[in-house]
Amino acid sequence: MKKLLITLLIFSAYSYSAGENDCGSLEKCDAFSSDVHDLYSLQRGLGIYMNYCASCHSLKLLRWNRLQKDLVIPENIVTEELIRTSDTKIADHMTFGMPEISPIGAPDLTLRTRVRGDEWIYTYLRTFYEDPLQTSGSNNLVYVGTSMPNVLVGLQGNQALDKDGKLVKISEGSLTKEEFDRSMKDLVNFLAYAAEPARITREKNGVFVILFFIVFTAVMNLLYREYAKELK
Amino acid sequence: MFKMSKNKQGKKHIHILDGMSLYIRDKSPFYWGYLNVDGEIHKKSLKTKDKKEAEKLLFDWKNELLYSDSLNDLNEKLDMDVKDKPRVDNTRRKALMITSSLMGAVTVAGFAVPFLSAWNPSEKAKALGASVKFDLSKLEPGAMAVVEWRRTPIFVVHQTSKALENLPKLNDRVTDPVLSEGVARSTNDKFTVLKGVCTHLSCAPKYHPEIEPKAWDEQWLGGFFCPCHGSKFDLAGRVYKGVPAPTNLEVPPHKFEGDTLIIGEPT
Amino acid sequence: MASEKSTVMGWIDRRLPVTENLERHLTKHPVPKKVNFFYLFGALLMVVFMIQVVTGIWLMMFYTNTEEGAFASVEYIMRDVEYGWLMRYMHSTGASAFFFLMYFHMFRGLLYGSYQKPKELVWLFGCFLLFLLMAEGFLGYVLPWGQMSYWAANVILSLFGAIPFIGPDLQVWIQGDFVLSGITLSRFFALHVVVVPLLMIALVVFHIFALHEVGAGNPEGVDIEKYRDEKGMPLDGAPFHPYKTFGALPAIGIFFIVFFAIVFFAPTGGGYFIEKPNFEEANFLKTPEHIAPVWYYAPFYSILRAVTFGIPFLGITSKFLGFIVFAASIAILFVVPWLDRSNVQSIRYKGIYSKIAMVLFAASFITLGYLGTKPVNELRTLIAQICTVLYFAPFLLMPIYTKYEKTLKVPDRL
Repeated sequence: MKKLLITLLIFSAYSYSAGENDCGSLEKCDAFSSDVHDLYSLQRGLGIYMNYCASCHSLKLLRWNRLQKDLVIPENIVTEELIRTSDTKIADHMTFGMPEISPIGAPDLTLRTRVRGDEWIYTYLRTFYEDPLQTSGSNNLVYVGTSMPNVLVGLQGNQALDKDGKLVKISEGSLTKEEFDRSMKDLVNFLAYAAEPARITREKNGVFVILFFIVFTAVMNLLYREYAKELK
Repeated sequence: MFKMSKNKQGKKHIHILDGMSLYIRDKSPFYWGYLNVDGEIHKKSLKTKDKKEAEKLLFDWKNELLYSDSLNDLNEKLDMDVKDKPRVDNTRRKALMITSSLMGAVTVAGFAVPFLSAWNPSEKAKALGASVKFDLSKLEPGAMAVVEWRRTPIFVVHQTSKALENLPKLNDRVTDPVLSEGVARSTNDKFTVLKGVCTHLSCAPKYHPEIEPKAWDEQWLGGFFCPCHGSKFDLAGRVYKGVPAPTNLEVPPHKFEGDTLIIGEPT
Repeated sequence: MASEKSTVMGWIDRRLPVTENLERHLTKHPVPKKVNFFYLFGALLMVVFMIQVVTGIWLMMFYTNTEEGAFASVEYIMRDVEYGWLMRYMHSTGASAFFFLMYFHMFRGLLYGSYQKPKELVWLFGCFLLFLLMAEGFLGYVLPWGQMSYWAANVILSLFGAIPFIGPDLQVWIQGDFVLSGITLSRFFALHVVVVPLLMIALVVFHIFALHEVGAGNPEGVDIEKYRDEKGMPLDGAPFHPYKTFGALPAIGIFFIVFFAIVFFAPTGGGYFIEKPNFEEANFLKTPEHIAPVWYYAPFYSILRAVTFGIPFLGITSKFLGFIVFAASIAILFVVPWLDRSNVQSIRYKGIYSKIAMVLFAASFITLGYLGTKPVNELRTLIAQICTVLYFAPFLLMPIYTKYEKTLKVPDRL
């Protein structure tokens, strides 16, 4: 019976883990899993967000003061360099004065990484290519027909599709491929943080809770064995 | 319940428990008892014809035999039937009980922390309760502004020089002159910042800066009058003697930054 | 007698039999000495139930049950409330844990015949609890008002609409609106936090009282009541406290290790515990590409989808037949005590057919669960149909094979 159970469990664990990856016209998204414990990466990601995303996309669920505390940014830098307007208080959300869907139709990005997954966003940001048929002049391999223009073209350089449907660079950007990939990782890390600010504390403190319950189990097992002796 | 069997000698055995049985001998009218206690065999007539009673006597006899051993052995044997059992180590047991009780207490306390903390003001409440800024430059001498902070009206009074002269004259007429707080009861001599809530029963006092005889006071030098129950306060919010309100109007935490008053942040 | 003592406890006992009941249900309640890990799931279920009740009460303090406010209030809990994220993740992980433990607890019952005479009522109350748990989970899943909440609820509610004649009216009545809306959300909230939990508490009490009346079973299927010592304690039994209570503690410890590992490091369970589309607010104009149930409903959802044909001459559509089969897959558990004709309780002494039946049942349940989380295609539908048959066969054929198969002799003692 035990063997059977173990076999069934292994089988079920295997079958459940074999999930399908939805990645647009690509077979698989590029592997990436966000890390919210790299403070500098989060700060760099915030920088990219403020420069390239914030003019269209709000982060309506994240408060400025939460960001300031979690990313360890001096308060005056947040108020003077990032908020820049006295109408917005530091406890306000990062809406940049926009409604949830901005005038040009860009959605709020606070929970995007949770809806799409880290890998999807990371691949999406890196697979824009020139497409004169689109009104924005560019298209995307992951989200085919996206209405978002390729705002990162200055950093990445322009790409186009070759005959086999592979991406090829047709102009250089200000960053090398490695630098650009790293920047996009920073950006996704930042978005993953914005999607769940509590994740920093959660993952940090979880270790202690688990360790405590390991000790708890050990002590309780000794207690149980002390009494179980009598039942032999 | 009971198994009946005949053994070699033709005696009829009634099995009760391992090592315990009743049997009948050919020439005896009574039930006989058979006991095997730790390998020692005991037999005797139980002097009764009733099976139920014989059973009871057999258990009594077994207990009697067990009593001849030390008390510890007896306890073990009673608890654990006739099989051998490990001796109970009470010190170890006690130590384990204490350790595990402590662990249990830590677990409960650990669970309590998040649940109790969740009742603290949330970030939203903190954002709503954050400090409020007020521009003093447009407040004329003698005027009062009402600023909302944490759902409480905050009275900001720009004192006239006349009022500042009059305030020390009232030191005898107020319950608590609070001379240490300064004339205007704030860090700025010209402005007084007060919670607009009467300390009697939380009505909102009215601002009456006029220096003239009033229905409630012949020698009124300006101040706050509460219409609900007739409490009187001077322009610095100090309560008059002989009115229902027990204490002065409260001063909320505040600080001045140039022409800006920040309510909600201590100096 | 404790009640004659002139102590405080005696005073209370004369008015409320505390000591008597403690002895009856804890310190003197005899349980079999030797059981295996399968017998720990009941205690763990109690722990999870308490976690759900307490975290649920706390979540209720911050949640808003309106169409406009629900989704935002969940994010408010996740971000603005101190430790709100912990409450929410404990509650969502608790739901998965509840089902996981429940399935094992019931499979234990099937393996070791915990439904046989005289435990029929214990089993029935348990089956009702499974039904209530499924309802509770469904109602709770709607509350965050995310995309999956909305569309999964739509799928389930439209099943009621498939019932002939009364269906459409019934669906509107349940929804309180012509579509699934905030009105539905409010009543689901009331059901989720008050009605169903109250019923569950009552049934848990009945389940345990009935169990303590007939006595707990064991993997051997031996009746421990047969042989008692002079004090009336069964020779193969031990008092519930301290032997079983202390036995549950290490199990609770291991459970908490796994539980908190998920809560702290994988609260969404890779999309199986909290699905990705549920981080997007419900939008009645945009259906998610693939509506998948949470893992614990997947087997039943699979059965529902596997029925691709109706009975046209009876006027039964495939949708309604699917609903019937889906309902039957749960209902059949209720009658198991009367399907088993075996003269032994435990699978250990049953014949080969019973063993094969259990393997087939477990394998089909897991396969159905896997298929339920995947989009359909022809092959998967075929496998689901085969597995649906394999799910029902062990129960439907039970009266035959349990009666005629050769069983082994059960020993007298544990």
